Amino acid sequence: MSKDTEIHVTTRILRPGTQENRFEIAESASLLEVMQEAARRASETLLPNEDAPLDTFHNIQHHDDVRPAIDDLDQAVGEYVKEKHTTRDFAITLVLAFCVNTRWAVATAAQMSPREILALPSINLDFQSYTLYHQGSTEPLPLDTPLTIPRGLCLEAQRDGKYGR
Amino acid sequence: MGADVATIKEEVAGLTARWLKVSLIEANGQEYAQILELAAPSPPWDSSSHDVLIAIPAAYADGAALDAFYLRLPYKYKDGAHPQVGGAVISVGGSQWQLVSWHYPDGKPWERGRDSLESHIMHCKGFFSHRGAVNDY
Repeated sequence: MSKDTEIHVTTRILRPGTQENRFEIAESASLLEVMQEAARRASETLLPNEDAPLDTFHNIQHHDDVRPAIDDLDQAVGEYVKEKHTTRDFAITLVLAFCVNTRWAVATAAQMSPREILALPSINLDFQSYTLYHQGSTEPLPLDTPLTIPRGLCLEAQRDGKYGR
Repeated sequence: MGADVATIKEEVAGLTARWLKVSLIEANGQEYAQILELAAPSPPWDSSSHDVLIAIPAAYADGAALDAFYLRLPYKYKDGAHPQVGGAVISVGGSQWQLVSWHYPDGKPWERGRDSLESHIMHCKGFFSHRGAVNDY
């Protein structure tokens, strides 16, 4: 069995003060695998999970030009870098991913109100029926009071209940 | 039914991918969603997680509503029984489960399309912390 050819890539997290990592990876590896390895080397966790991240992966072109997020992360890195105007430099954008129950979304602002959170397309819960809580808390979050959304925050949306028939 | 409303099997598959502890189980012709290790505050509960069963109506696909749930026995609440865990006891999957009297407020039932199995599980989770209760037990 022949050994898969490897190529050198350079990766980093798009955040001030982070260092570059340079490593070899099989040409046949998918861009998702490159992204996963880049995250591991930067000691970061992709959210909500490394198989289907909301975080985005970018090619960095000359003069530090960050290209738009790569849509097709299933393509092989060896093929990708042969395309015109691509380089072997990549970067990850860590988005403000957070969850409500089991639904994940990207925050559209650093602070959002429960009303805005429930209305996000990937959350899509009726604010008139659902109340938002911090995980494990019994204190309802006021509908129109913005809360700061750190990356990885998990909230719970619940409909009220009553005891008895 | 709208084409975008998931079947119970699709809902469970989606939750299994994200939550991992949900499965469908059938007993005596009745289908249930079994949820393992639903978080509960301990104390007053004897354990920080409990298993529950949610009965899936036969007409679920046609809009029949979810309501209430069963709690796996045994359990302890404040070293005794919870006053609202007093319904029928059933045997499913080798365990005994008791019906919990925890419902939606009057006039605001579970509604297919707006609500889901996931949202009902969260509603059931609220019971353990007396969260969102519109009355006292």
